[in-house]
Amino acid sequence: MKFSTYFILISYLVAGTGLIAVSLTNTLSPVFIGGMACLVTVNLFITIKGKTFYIPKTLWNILAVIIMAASLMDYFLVSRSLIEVSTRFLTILMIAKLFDLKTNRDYALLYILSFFQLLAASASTVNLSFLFVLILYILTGIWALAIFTLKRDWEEKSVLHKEIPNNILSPLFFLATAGLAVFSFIIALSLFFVIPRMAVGFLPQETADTIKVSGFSEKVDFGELGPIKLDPRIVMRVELLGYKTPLPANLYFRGVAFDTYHGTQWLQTIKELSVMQRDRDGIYISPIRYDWEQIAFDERQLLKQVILLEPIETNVLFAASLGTGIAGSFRNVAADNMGSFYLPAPLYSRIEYTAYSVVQPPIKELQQRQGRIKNTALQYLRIPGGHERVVLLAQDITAGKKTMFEKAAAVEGYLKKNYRYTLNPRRGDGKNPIEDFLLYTKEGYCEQYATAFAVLLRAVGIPTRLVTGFLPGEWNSFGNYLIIRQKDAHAWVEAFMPDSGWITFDPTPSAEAAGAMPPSTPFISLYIDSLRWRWNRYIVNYSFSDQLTLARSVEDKTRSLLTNLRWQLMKKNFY
Amino acid sequence: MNIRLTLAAPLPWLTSVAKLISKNKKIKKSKISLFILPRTLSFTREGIRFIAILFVIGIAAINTGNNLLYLVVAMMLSLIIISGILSESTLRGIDIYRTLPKHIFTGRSAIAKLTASNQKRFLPSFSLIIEEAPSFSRPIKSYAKEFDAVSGYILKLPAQASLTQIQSYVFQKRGFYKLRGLTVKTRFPFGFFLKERRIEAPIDVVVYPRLKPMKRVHSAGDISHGLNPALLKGQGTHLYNIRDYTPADDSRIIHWKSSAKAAKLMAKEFEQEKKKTAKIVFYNALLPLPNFDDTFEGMVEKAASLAEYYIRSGFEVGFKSLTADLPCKSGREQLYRILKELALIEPVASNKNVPLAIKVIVP
Repeated sequence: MKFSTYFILISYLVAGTGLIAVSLTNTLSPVFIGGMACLVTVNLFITIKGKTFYIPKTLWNILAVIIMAASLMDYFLVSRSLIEVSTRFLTILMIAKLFDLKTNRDYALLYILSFFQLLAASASTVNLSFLFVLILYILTGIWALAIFTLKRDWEEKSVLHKEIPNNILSPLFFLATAGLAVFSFIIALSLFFVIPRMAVGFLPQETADTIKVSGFSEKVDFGELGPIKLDPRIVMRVELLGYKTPLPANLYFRGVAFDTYHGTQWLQTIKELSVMQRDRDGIYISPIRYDWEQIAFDERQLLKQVILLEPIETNVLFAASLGTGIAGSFRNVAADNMGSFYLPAPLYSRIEYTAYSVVQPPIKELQQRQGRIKNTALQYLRIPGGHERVVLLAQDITAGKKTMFEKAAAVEGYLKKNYRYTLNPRRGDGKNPIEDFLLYTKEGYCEQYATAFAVLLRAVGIPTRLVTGFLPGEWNSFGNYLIIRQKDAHAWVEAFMPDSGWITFDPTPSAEAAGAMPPSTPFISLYIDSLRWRWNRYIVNYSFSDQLTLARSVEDKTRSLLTNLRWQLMKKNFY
Repeated sequence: MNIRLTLAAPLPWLTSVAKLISKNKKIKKSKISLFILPRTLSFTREGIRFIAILFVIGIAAINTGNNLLYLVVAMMLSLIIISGILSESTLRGIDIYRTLPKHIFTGRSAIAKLTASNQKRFLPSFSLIIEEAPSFSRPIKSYAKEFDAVSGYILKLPAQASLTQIQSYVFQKRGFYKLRGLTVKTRFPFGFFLKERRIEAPIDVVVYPRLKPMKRVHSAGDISHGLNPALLKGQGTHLYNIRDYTPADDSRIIHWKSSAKAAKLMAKEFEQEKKKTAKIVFYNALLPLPNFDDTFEGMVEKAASLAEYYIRSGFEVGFKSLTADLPCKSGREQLYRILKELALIEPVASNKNVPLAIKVIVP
């Protein structure tokens, strides 16, 4: 192949990479991108055949001004999005340039435009695909710049004034430069981790792919959780520091608690928000303390979780079991009187934070105690009207049970034994959904089970509240973290036990027992997800504190290595 | 494109520091070469733009805390590192030999042979610009310092291969030149930086004065090819006398026309021949004249042209100045001896009140 053909092909590859980069911004429509890609391809064939369009310089300048004016109009009158307008402007300008590639300066301008496209992508996406586009850009960029330099130097310095010999570029040249691109990428990654980060100016990037999740607002309608339990989209990834498998028992990722049941919906009526205070380590400390928490601390069951939360249109921060603290790049965090954490407003971006929790000990260890219910817990005993038959049923189930723990266990056992798990419950003839579930259809999913359990316990004098959150989801052994999807959304109950405090009960039969275990995720999907997790964990959310941790780890390892070496030398000298 | 040494990258900083040290310590200029580092690096225009963009994106990354912008910054920095490694690989292992012609005249193109070889085992070198390095030491003659050399360019020099190129040198002034070496430069791979390596290849060059064509020199008297007749019998070519032939004579000297007239054998006798000589006397006196330097150079060129003319005309030519005296000899070697004297000649102060003049003494 002729040198000039190589040069054209590589230059168009760079342009193509720029086009792929802008497609990551999610601001341009697929039709626009497709159209532009077609134009690039057509133009490539025309240029390779040696045909060029002559665009006078004046016309070219006029064209650029027109494109600029159109983009400004687009910004002020149509899209009002700077990133959208600038990506579109860059793309159109690049395509126009492709029709006017004559001098070396034109080619240099083409490379600059494609580089700006890459910049636009870096400013508006956090997708893992950006990594692959970056690698592709490094590869094509190195090829293009090297060939461009050879061409320009030859034209300027050679006295022969003829076309560059074809044997200059061999397959080995491309292979070697590809190797260099890999090397360059490794250097870039190393530099990325050591470039000093400032602990200022944190502005999370907005992502367009926000997931709508129900059940984490101030009220939840009965049956709202059902549809999302079919959605396999990932909501969060959780790294349990210090844990691989098996996971700690009773692991639930708690979101919001509801105190009042109205027959068709759960509400937060006694919610009191308070701003959490930061401790010396910058951790927002929860004001809520549970009576059994002391036991957990004694047993050193403090669980540290690094949570990567997708944009899910809620300001709730999730934490395992009882959250005791939250750390992250937040200006402030609030907690309510039911142990839930909130940001001031929903973030429409992927966020990473660390949650500290204590995991509830097994109920057997807690039920030794017996005492009186605090007055504050009495407001969790209200049952709406029309549930008389439910109250009678509760009394039947708990007949002969003395302690509150025994009563709760009896109701839990009753529900698990006599009811069928389904995501598509029928409608019965009951006065309300709970009567339907308990007395007629006898089938449902977590929301029915948890609500019925809560109402049944309230009927026998045990304060309860409904909690929505997520089950642990799937363990990804490639990255040692949990993948939690929409379908892992769950509802369970917290019951107030004297001297023990709020204890978690889950009356829903496990998915496995109910025969609703989802098929396991394919090996390759888990691997790709682990790449995504690492990308978000170590690149997108890499911070000053991570850098400090890394520096400390390197320091510790170096020190231990030196100590080891010194010890070995001393031993050698001694003997 | 005009490659300028615009901004200094790490290596030029070191060079500057070295120069600063040398300046502060008042080291003699001939010793400065000891402080010159083996590589210099400078930004090209594109390189400056690249660094400016890098700087702006760096600020944007810090301001926004956007890690993907940090990643782009890291990529750009890695390209600088890769560029350094590749340009070093391109310059390393390159040997260049330069062969200049034996006789070089002012203002005339001297064709030199440049042989570049790549000693590396596997890696080829790309886009090499080869130039004569500026003289590191001061030329001996203060006026002998200007020359132009067309730079050589090699697009690709494969591993373990060598390539010969022709390079033209034009010296603008006569004198003694001490060429210290060559520089091999490259903008490969990305054109952001111009890296330069100096290769020591010292060579001393004497540049003869410019020769002006001379067809006939009137002041030299009757000059014809051959030698002057001495008006004595001898072994020359011109007829001196005709006498009777004796058996001891060579039959080839029989003059047949006279023999026919005299009806006996007559023999030719020849004139004795004497070699023609010319002594060029150059009064290289230093005089307080306006435009003395130009006048002096004109005289030097005239003397050189006269020497060339007489040698070409078969004379034995000698040269005499206030500082040198070459006896008369013939042939090209004598011409080069005279030209070398004239290449290095300088005006000298004289108290004998001599004019600045050239005189040709033809006996």
